[in-house]
Amino acid sequence: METLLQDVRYGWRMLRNSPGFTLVAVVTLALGIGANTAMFSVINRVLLRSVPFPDSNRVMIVWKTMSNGSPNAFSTPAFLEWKQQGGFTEHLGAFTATGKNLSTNSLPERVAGGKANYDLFPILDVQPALGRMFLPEEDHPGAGSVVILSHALWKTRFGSRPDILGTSISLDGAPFVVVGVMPAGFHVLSDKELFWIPLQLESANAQASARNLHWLFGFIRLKPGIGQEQAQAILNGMAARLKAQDPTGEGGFGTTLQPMADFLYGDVKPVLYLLLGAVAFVLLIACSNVANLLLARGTMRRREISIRTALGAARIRMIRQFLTESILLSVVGGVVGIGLAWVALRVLRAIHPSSIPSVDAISIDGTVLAYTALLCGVVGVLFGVAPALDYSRVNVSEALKEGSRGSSGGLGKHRVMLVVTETALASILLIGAGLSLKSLWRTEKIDPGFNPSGVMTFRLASPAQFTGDRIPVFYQQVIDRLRAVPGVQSAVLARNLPMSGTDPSLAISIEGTPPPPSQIPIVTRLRVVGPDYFNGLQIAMLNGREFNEHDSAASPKVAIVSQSLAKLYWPNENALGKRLKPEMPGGEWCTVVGVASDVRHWAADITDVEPTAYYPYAQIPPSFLLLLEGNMSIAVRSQNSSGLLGSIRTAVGEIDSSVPLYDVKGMEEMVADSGSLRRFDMWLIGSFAGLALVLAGVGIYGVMAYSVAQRTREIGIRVALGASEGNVLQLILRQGAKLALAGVVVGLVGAFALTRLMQSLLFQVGARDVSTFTFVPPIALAMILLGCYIPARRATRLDPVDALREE
Amino acid sequence: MIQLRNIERTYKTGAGVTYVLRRINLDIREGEFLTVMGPSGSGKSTLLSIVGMLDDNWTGEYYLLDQAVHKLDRRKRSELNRKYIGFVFQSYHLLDNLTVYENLDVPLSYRSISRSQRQSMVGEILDRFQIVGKKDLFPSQLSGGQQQLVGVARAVAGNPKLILADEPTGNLHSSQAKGIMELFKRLNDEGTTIIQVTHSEVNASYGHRTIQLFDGWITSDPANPQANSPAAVAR
Repeated sequence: METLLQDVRYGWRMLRNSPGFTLVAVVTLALGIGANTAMFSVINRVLLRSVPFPDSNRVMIVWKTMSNGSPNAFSTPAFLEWKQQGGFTEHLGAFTATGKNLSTNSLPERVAGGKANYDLFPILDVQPALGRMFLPEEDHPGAGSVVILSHALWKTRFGSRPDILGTSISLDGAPFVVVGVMPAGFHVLSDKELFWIPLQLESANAQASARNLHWLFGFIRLKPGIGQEQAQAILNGMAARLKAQDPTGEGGFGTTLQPMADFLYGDVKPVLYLLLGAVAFVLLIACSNVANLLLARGTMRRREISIRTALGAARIRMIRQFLTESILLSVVGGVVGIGLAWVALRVLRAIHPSSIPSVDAISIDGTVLAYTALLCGVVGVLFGVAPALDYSRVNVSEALKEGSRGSSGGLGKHRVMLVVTETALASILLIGAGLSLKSLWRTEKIDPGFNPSGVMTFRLASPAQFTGDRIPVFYQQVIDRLRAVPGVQSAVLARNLPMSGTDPSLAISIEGTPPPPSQIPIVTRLRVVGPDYFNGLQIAMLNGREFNEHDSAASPKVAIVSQSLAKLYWPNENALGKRLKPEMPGGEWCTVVGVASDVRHWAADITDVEPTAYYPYAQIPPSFLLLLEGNMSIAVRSQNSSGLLGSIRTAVGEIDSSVPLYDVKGMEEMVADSGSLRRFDMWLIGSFAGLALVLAGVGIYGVMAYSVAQRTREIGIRVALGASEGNVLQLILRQGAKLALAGVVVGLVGAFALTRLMQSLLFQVGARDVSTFTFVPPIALAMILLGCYIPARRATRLDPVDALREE
Repeated sequence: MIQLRNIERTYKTGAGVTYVLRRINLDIREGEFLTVMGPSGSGKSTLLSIVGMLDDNWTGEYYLLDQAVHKLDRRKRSELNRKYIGFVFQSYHLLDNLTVYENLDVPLSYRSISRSQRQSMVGEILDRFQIVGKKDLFPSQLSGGQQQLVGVARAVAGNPKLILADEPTGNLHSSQAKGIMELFKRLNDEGTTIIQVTHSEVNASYGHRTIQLFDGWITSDPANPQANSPAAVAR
């Protein structure tokens, strides 16, 4: 212990005595450790602690398998059918997102929340911070209105009042009694949820026509000892029984289990792991740099080492001394790195990428600090071990004879290996960044099928005085007023705007097409839109006409189909005049009056465009319309967006000042958000690749500077023999270029093997894209050669007289 | 061949300016074998560096084969060095990682000479110095005398008009030294101008003229009895 303390004390003194070396090593390590700490903080929050329930890996989402094999949410009848099977699914939890206008003293505010059945909360196994969960009897239709608040809502809107329980709050103008407050951080599917009310599922809803409305997320918790596969087998058995009871029924198609974390963060997971891999590369490069610095320093310490050895220090003792020094360095680098990570996370929170969930909750906590501490230890040994072994092999008599003179030998295999490794790692990262950049470029070039420029969108629910048949009247009044606002070019209504994050589908029947023998219905994307929708969003009409004010509830039912739907069901035929029927309650045959070009509804970088059917809002059956309440979106295109939002608020306020506008967003922002994950991925990989390249450049600079120092005498001789500045420059650059080239070639091979791991994250770019593999390596090579140029220039300025002077 | 006029070389030190060479006036004829002698620190090697154009920080006038070196930039001086001058060093200064053959090729590679021509030139030098058998050896595999032989061969490889030798036998024992000096004599007889710096009277006896340096001044030059001396300047 005492000798260890002595080693630490001596190591600390050594670092203090070489401030230049210490500074460069600490900054290099801090960059590597900092990037890793920041990335791990994101992973810790998003992937490791994302699902805020105890033993959350046992909580599964249950998907209803559709007739075409794809998973979907449950319809009411399907949910009840499965629940009635008893046993495993008797206590199937159910959840659906909702939104309500919350009125306190000020203007109403739109708040997101959820409807949950009684069984859900026991499955999630979370106890309220205050009050209680729902009672079984509160989950029956007509049982009265109770609400559980989120901790955030209780804190911000109700001042954390301890007497909140039992009080009544107003949601959509109706009173709800607060029975509980959930603990901080709790949510079911989205951290935007601020309240939960009982689902109160009516079995009366379970009519056959409601089978096409898939709106309920099912949940179960696996019992201890039962794995996902076992549970799936049980569910498959139940599906087989249902099929036997009713061969044409949908129950036979079964259900699929998915771990909740997988569902919530499945998209983000590969990106985050890829980025963690990228920062690991950065850290390895940083380690190579510091190892190289230590090796160079070792040359200067040969005399000290040989004296220590001559005085009787054992090799293991020497190695321990040097490892202590390197771990000390990594600890200091780690402390600075944590500071850098803290800054990086603040920047991340400020940027607030919409694709990364729970960004605001990402922080450096105990787990992250433990990870960083472990990293410091590993890194300290990693970069310290090669120099320590190298130092301890000093030939004592040679070193003492040489005195302080440096050896004029080559670079040494350790140095060469380290430089080649870091150049290779930087090249791999740069190629990864190149592929990401090309994907992003391809994405940006995709025409989404509509023009988002200058379009402001928002959502609003119809107020209490507009119910039933009067709901469309309210929206029509809003649209009319908006169109009258100066500068507004168009104002259109839609159930789901493109890239708004929702993409509902509905089964349809096509006239003249017999039902498929497998009973698989034709499912298309469902869009319910107002008049002038296609013109307003500038979606090209390829044939026929657009919806107008004459397409009312009383007029013949019409539909517009997307180009892909027309091609799929009426190939080589004119779709106009054909008829289709949406399988919704009260759905009627609609005549196709127009064919519109395809719209990328979910995101620009989704390769497949889904066949879509559009229906006029005014012709939607009233029973189905009820489900659309509070979910209508409006898109306003104007020449000048400044002051537009104020004008919109005024226009809506003139009809009912208590109606809150929510989800206010520019359409360009929505398009940008749809590619946010790709952009986030590209920027981070690009940044890490840039950092890696700079570090590799610094690394090769260090090695070449060392080489120049070692070759001073040789350079002097060469100048005396007639070498010009160009000759000397070439001499040093050639040596650096050989290392850089070797590194880039190894990097190319590595990238060839590794980039396939990111194939799923690429868009219209192969993981072994020839142009990226052709153009990126020369860039890497040029950047790394810049690192050689400075020592090479310095070599040309060496004074040959000094270089040749005898000692 | 060489005219030096009022050449001065100084170093800046903490205490001010230190003179290494003072008002050097020297004429060297083509084909001459000149010896520069003097105690350590008298400026002998510095004078050789200036003549060899390795040192640029001097003042005065320097003419080499009627070209005003003092008016030339670094690049032009390097060209002159490559064209006319060969160096021989006390510590041989062979490149450790290169073979004898490659060491001889180095100065030629810095001139615009094709590879095949260089091959024949190196071959000729190896023959002339009778070191063909050693062409693939590394310097560490040669004795001191053999290394200096290669050093002289390397200096001669580019057919220089002027050889500058800085204590060429300083690290050799007497028999090896004799061999090298005879080699210089032979080269001089063949027309090469030689300037050697030495402490050895024996070596000096191989030359035509010996000048003495002391504290940066030429204190004795048989060709110039009026050579400056500190005493003369003081007067």
